[in-house]
Amino acid sequence: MNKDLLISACSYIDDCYLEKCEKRKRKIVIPSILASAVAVLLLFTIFSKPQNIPPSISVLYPAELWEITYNQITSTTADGALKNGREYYMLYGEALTESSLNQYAPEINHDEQCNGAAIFGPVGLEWIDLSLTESHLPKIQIRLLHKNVPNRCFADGFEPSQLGGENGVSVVATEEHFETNMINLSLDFWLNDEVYITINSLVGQKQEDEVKSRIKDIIAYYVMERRNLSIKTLQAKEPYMVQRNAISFYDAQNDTVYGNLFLKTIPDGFQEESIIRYIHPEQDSLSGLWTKGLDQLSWRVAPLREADESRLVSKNETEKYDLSRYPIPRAESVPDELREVVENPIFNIRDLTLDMIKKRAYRVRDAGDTNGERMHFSVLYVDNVVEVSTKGVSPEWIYEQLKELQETKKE
Amino acid sequence: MTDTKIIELYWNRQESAITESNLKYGTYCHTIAYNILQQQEDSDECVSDTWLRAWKEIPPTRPQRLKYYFARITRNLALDSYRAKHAQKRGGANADLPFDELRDCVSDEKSIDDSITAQELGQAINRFLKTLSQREAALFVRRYFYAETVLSIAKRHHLSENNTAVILSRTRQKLKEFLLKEGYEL
Repeated sequence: MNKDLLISACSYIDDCYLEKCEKRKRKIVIPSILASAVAVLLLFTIFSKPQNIPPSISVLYPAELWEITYNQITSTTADGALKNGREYYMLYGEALTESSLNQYAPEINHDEQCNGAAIFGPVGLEWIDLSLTESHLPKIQIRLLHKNVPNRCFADGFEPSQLGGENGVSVVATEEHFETNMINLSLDFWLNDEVYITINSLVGQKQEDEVKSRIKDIIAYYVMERRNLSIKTLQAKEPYMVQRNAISFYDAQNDTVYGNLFLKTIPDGFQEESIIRYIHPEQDSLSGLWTKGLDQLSWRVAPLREADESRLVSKNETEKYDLSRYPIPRAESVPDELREVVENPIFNIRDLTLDMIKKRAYRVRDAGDTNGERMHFSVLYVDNVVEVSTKGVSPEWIYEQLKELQETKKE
Repeated sequence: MTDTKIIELYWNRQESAITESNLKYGTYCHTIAYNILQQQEDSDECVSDTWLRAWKEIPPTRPQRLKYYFARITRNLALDSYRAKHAQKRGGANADLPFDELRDCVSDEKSIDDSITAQELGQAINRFLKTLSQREAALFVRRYFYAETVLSIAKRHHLSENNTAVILSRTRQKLKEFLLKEGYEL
């Protein structure tokens, strides 16, 4: 292509772009002494939440000149700095719609993709997770947390970076270097009184500068364009319906959704540890755990999900479930592409034979542990799956229970 | 005077249309011409020619946005003039002109497919601009439509000159990748 053609083509740039480029961003220049005083003041106030942010804010520009100090941390400091006592099993997520993404995600670059989910808890929205991916860069994850959600504690004296001038934000940035030459970048700041933002990315050394520059753009977007962002108005599509109820063996057998696939009897000598009916939009299930010394039996009934379908196996596909083909340590013997299915194959109850279950059984001689047969696999009954995990229960007993459920189902 | 009134003057074949156009948009168009030509007299001539071109085209044309309509005419006329002078002084061209930077995006060789028009490519550029952030798009338009200097753009956007140059360079690279993806032979 000739350069002149490209130059002439620029004459056809739409009016809207010609108009937009005439608009300027406002700039407030803060005298350097005043800015320093503000930074010092913020060093002393970093441990408390920022107070009322004015509704309309102009910030020091440009973001390109912002300097973010990354505090070097070790895994010990990182663990100590994380404070999150959330009961994750009480949360569930909903994928964000395009309009919600437009509302909460930063502007994306050419070739960049963004997706996200809203995480709801008993009292409504807890946080929004956003994920930015670009073909040549590692993923950048952004979390917009509501003020009520516990977040990172800055008690370790990390040095914050004051970005955006007097009314800007105070960002605590850390980087953790791993032996694998990977670096974990982590940044936190209060955007306003309601929204707390965390940004994370695991990067290689070669991409470090580019990712840090992109992160700076993301912070600049929120600070300069979305300073008054509110997330509390985001509603779940369905009413919140998460319950985690401990129930009796009798109630479990009579559960209207999964009771017909729950264990009818327990092996000799085993004691009930817990039976949980978990009502959840994504992980609905009924599960029980019984133990006998160090032996155990776990029985879980849940719907077959789309993600499970890749683990469905037929009798002839022995490479996907016959553990005798894969000596321990299996991390070395199981091919990567089969790892997930070999770990937990799903058999169809119509094809299930005792021999298939026996191919799942193996013994491990561990000092101080029992030498019972271990098994882990799942069985599909039309649209629900029974997941079995045992140590110290025979394949014959398990097979008998599973087949009996099939008979019950027929009735 | 409003743009609608000026357009009416053109439609009514009243010569005051040219006076009013020059009064309202003379400086704006002169800046565009001067950015490209870097010559006072040539730029004056270019602006005068802009009104004459408009006189010929209106009617039947009825511009939606008169300002940008004039901008396009001025830009094209200035480019024609620049190319004519550039051809005369081969080898002595002003290397600072922004258009030379667009070499990054193209091979500058004759394409096998000569059927691509500037208008078609212009539409592709508009699609490309849509993929950019507002600031990146604004910088691109300032540099490659208005032919502004990097320093002037940097001041306008409160950026350093170096940062502006880096952003423009990345944007050119993105444009190249975008056009390749769209199937253009660069």
